[in-house]
Amino acid sequence: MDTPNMSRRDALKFLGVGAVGIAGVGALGKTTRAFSRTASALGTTSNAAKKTTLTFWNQSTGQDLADFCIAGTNFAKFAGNVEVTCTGYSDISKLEAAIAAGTPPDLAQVSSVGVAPGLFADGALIELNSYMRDSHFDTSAILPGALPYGAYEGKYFALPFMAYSVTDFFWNKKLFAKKGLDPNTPPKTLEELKTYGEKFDVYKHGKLVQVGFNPISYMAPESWCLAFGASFYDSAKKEITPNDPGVIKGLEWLQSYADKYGASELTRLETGYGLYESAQNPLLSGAVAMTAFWDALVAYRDRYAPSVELGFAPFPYPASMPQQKGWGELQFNQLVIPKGVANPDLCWKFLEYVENNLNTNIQIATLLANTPQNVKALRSPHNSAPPLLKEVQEYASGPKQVSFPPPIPVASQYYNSWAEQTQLIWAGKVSIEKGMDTVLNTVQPQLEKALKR
Amino acid sequence: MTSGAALVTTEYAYDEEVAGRNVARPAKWRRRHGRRLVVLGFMTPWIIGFCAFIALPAGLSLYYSFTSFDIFQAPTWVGAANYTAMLSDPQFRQALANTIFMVVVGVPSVQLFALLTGALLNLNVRGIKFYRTVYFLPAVMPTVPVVILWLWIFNPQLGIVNGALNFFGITGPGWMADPNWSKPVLIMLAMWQSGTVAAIYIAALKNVPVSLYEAAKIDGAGVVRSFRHVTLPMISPVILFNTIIGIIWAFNYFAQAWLAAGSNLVSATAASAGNPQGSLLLYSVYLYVNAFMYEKMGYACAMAWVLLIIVLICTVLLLKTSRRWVHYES
Repeated sequence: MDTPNMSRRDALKFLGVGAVGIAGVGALGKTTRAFSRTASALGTTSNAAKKTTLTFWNQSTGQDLADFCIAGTNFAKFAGNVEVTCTGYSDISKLEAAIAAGTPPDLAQVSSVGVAPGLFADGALIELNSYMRDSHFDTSAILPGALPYGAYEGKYFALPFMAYSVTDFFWNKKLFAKKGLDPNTPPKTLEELKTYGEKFDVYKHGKLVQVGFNPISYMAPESWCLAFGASFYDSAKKEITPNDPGVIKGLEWLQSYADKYGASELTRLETGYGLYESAQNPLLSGAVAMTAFWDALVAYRDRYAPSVELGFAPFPYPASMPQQKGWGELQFNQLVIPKGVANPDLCWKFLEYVENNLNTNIQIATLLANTPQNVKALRSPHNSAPPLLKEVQEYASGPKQVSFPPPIPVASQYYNSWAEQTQLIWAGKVSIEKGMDTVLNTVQPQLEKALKR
Repeated sequence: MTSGAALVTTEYAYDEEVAGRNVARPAKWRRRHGRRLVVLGFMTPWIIGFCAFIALPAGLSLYYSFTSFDIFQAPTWVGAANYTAMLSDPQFRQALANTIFMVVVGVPSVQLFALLTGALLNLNVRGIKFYRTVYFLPAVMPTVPVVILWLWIFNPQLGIVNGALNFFGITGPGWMADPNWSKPVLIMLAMWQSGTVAAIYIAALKNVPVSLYEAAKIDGAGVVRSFRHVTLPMISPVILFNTIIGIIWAFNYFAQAWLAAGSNLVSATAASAGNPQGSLLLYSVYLYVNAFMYEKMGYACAMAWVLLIIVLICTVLLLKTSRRWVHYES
């Protein structure tokens, strides 16, 4: 056995060095974590005694992220002794993991539909009521349609920050004129919308190649239901209401398009519209004469097709329901303070600033060509948005603007189940009643389970 | 040997004395365990990594599968409730059915395509290296751009596939917008990216002795019979390997389905997990949705363990049947 074995001493040395190395790495990790925690708690960085560092996570990328991060830069200037690190994230699991690991961002913007209510129900977010009360937060300054979707049973867990979807109605004035329609008179009711749309339909060799208005293009099924005044949740009974008469009427109206044109035909056309943030946008390219879209269309027109004359109006309403005039749907990004932040008071100051600072709101809304959540900002004389965008913004501040899904603990499940069933209904694979029963039977037990926790 | 051992023993005694522990151990113990300690020393980093990143998470995942766990609160024990809940979960059944389609249709399609392409790329023709490189290129392309590219190619209105079909007077389907075609399109994507699988087949084909083909030729076998009776048996271990890897791949298929379902190139308004109409709600997609969108981590962990068991059963079954059709030269 005279092989060149490592001697025991060498082996022990090796193990010793290994152990010291591992211990060293562990100790370094511990020290780093300890330092990180201390730094987080004290809010210190290089300028230890003065600067407090806040982290702002934003669920966006690219130029949008850079624009949103201005909120942090402005707050840092405003607060004086604060530094804001702004980071983009795309997947909600990263935020969840950070909260679960005890290293959450100080302020997070959540854009994924229905996620924030679930996080709050799971105890991952700070309730904002006491902060709002103590700082006399003016809720009337926030768009009435956006505010309720950050609260469940009176408990606020999120505040809105810049719209990412507002269901507006746009039409192409030149195309209207070509068909002999008054380019300044859009359809006012859903019935008129259908009639106007038919004028632009084009068939080639018996095949539908163009429709004047595509009901599934940038218009989700729930939007049609909201047009009929649908309610998706009964807060008194704590029950979801996918069988609400408004829901059924809305889906039946949508289905009437499928009956006329064929669902697969309209879907085929819709999937061929290309990228909406480009000259391929169906309204800008002339593929449709009218469309539902959100506020950013004004900027897309200016950027990609400045010669297109856009008209904007509130979305048509059912002729039989004139009380629905001025209805609309909006979705806002939500700002939340995760549980476990080192300095919740300062985080609230940051959140409050983002909500209320008019210059910051105007600046970011202008860059994003977006609708700010602050009513005073959108009506400010300093708001330099183009006239058409200002009209859109004003529409979003109306009293009949609503959102979907309701901010219940299982909002994500509701949204996904709804989306799946409405797709099946659209394709004619299940009836409206059966699809909505499935949503009810799938989501309601989960809601009850969540409420028991 | 004796002198060496004595020297080491002396060193050992010296070490113990220096350490203040005059406890001499027999040389036999040293010989038996010293080497093991060295091996252990070299293995320690891997063991630490294995424990920290595989064994511990797997153990915790097994534990969480028996709990109600939302990531943020401490898990509460619910016994087998997560496992029994799967039986009555229609979306679970749908996800499993979609995944089985990917396994049953996708794996054989990809394997067959890669094998036939590998056989072609094994021919001694001019420019074969160029062809191999071109065929392998999609395999090294990042997933996201590839999926976006694929969505454009199969765009019902603007895509080149339907454009070509239109040229021949055929109305193409909705492809990714059509629940009947969404999975086949992803399988075609996998076939397009099967360069790695084909490379393994090419390596196996090159190892088939030429003498066997010569013998077959003397016996009167043509190209097809040579392929059937010589090539296939000789590369059957590689087919088995690729099939097992393929099955694991199909059960874990996620990124492409997730990206395609959520893309506004498919639908700007109906973008949701599993779009269109739940046809891309694959097992791993639904697992992810439960874990990170519904925060039902306990249920997701249970799904992960069921998936592991399913994959294990498939692998064992395949290995069992392989005795009949896999030929080992040894």
